[in-house]
Amino acid sequence: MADSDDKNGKSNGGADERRPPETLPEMKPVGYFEGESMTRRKVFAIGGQALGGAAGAVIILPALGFAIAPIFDEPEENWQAVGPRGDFVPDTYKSRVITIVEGIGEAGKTTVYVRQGSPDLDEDPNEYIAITSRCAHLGCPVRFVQAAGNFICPCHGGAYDFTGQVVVGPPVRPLDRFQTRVVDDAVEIGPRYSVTSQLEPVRARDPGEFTGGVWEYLYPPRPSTAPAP
Amino acid sequence: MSRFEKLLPPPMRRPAKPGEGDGHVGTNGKTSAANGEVTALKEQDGNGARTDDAGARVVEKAKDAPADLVGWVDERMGGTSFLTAMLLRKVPKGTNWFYTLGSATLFAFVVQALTGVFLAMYYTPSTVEAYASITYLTNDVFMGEFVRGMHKWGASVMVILVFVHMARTFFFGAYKYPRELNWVIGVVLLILTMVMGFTGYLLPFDQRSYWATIVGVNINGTAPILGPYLSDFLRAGPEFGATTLQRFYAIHMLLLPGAIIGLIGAHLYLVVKMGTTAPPWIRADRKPKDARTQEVDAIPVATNGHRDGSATTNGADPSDDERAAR
Amino acid sequence: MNRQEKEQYLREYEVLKKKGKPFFPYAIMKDSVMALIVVVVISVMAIWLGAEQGPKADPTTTTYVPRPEWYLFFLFEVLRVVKPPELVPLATVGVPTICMVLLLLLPFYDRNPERNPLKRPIATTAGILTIVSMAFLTFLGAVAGSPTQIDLEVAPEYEAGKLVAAQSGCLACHQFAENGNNGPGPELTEIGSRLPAAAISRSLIIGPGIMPSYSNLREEEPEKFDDLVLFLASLNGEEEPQEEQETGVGASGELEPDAGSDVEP
Repeated sequence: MADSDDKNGKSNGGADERRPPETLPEMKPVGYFEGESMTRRKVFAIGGQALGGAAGAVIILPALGFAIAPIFDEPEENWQAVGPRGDFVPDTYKSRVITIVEGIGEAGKTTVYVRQGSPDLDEDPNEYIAITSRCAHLGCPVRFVQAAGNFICPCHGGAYDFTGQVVVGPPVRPLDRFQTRVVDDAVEIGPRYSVTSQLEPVRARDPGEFTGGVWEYLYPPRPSTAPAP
Repeated sequence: MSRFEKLLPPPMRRPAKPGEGDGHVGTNGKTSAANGEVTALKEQDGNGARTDDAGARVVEKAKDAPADLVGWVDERMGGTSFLTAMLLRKVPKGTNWFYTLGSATLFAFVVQALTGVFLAMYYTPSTVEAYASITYLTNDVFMGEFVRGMHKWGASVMVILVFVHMARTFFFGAYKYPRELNWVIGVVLLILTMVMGFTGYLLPFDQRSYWATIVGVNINGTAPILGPYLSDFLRAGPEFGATTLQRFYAIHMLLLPGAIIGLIGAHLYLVVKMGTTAPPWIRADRKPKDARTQEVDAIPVATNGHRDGSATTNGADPSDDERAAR
Repeated sequence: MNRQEKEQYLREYEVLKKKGKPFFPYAIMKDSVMALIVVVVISVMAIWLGAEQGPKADPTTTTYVPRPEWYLFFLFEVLRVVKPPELVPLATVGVPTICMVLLLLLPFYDRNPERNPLKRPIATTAGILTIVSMAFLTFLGAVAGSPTQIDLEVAPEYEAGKLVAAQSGCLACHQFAENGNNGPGPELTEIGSRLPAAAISRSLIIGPGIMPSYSNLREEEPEKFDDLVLFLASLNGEEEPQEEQETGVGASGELEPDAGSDVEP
């Protein structure tokens, strides 16, 4: 019948009146004063954890944000001239080098295949088509083979036809394209965009990601890419 | 006390069992097998009875110096009993050369870490300058190509050793009770080792590095929903950009080695605590029941028992008779 | 493992441990020898194989053939053989993730208390199968060629044609022995024994189905076109290519469609 009230030096004379005598005495934690639901121990325990957690969060969250921030950086639209209109013909591609990331020299450049729109394929001769050299399977550099008029990837056996659509192999969608425009008789290349298997433009995706239909949600468009034309 | 134990300084020796009378374990306790002196007791005389007095006394004191030093540290740090338990623990009968693969892997990791530190002194993790710094390191630094070669081939050796060690553990059934946790830690270490290879591979920034990384990051991106964001995180952006190399460098140099070292510590702790397994074709001798005093048959599973290999008590625990009938 | 099996194992383990030898110096000795071997092997490889630097990273290349490090060749080979695009995410992340999860959870679904590999047939077989298949895939990945390379051995006079074939994108759709893709075009390793040279030439000019037409090549570089036809016609699977000297296709390369019957090898 040890009454913990006695331990704390607070005698409550008639502690029995608050509980029926048949029940077992309530075990109260050390430091418990009658009428309180919180002990100093609990306060310090919770407080210590809360403050420690806050201190940890102040350090970790900015660091994490620091690492994750590039995902949410919006890109600037960058247009580069690649040559006068007369350079490009509708029946073959010419390769040109453009810069996609500024400030790091060679590592920021990539090769683009450019041609004029071909009336045989229902395209406008005033529009220019710029196709990327990155395979849509996993990003290896594709090469355009003039004799066959197709693009071949050296890595896993993918091949594309003249318009960039997949002929054979594991690539999951046609080759990506770059936006083009003509300014002062010079063809300019803009941001990259991806296409569906029907060659409809969508926001740029990474290689290996399907496009079109339900895949637009399974591989969501990212804020770090430019909007589709 | 075995011959080898006599070579150890007294504080590191196993504590004497009652009745095992070892003489004394004072500073003179160390026997010098080197010059063939016999037992500790003889030196008890204190003044080097066999040879000249003053010089001999100094020599005797000097011989004890390492032991004294260890004793000094032990008084202040108290770790020698742990070291003793770890070093003098028994490994089961039948332990063969296959069991060296784990420590060989650890050693390969140490080689990688050390050569990595030296390479880091010359390497510049910048997209523009990385290749040039490696050229300088390979051609113009003394033994640069050798150190770089060790790091490069050490990576392949380490991957091989990790796989062979895992295969050995698998075929010996050493991942079963009670070592399941150790296996899980080991698989995580395998994955981390492969990621180390992947991140480190980009750092020389030559053609092979660049394209292998592009493909590797895009492989990550093919996972639905989260994949593209994971690729963005690894590349620091939608394209291989200005800070991708630095990110890989930080992961390779800081994040992953820290994680690996921590997990290796946990892995080794479990190995020492649980003990290594005996090869599965080795069976304990089945002695007849009346000679059961030789076997320890009373290991309560609930407590920590005698699993760490420290000296077990002889004699059956009378409360466990019901388990004896099997 | 039930409680009794667990206790039995622990009991047996205690006995075996008692009969063992102390870690220091017996196991330490073996470990030190192994450590020495490891360091010697690494050093010998570093000295003998060296650490040459490859060409500088060039994202604008269109001729480089990327390959991963050797210990990833098995995954690389899996990606090469999984051709249907729908299965690509399975090969890239699906199967590796499943394998990693299986490996991680192994002690939780392998409940057999038996440890001896000879007495756990399923586990041992699965293990050996895994090792053998990974080794085989690694080997295949290592010998995988580039799509602009034909390794088939031919007589010197057909080398020029072989080069034209390699550079004209044929390998994207056709297979030549070990190189190239096995589809959608037919395998050409023995095309010379199935089609006469005139028929081959006709296919190249027309471009049947989805095959592109090489009539441009014939107009702009007729010698290359002729070399190509000669080379293809010589591929009839025989050991001695010298026998093909009498195909009678003609040096100037002009082919008559009805000359087919004359050039059956």
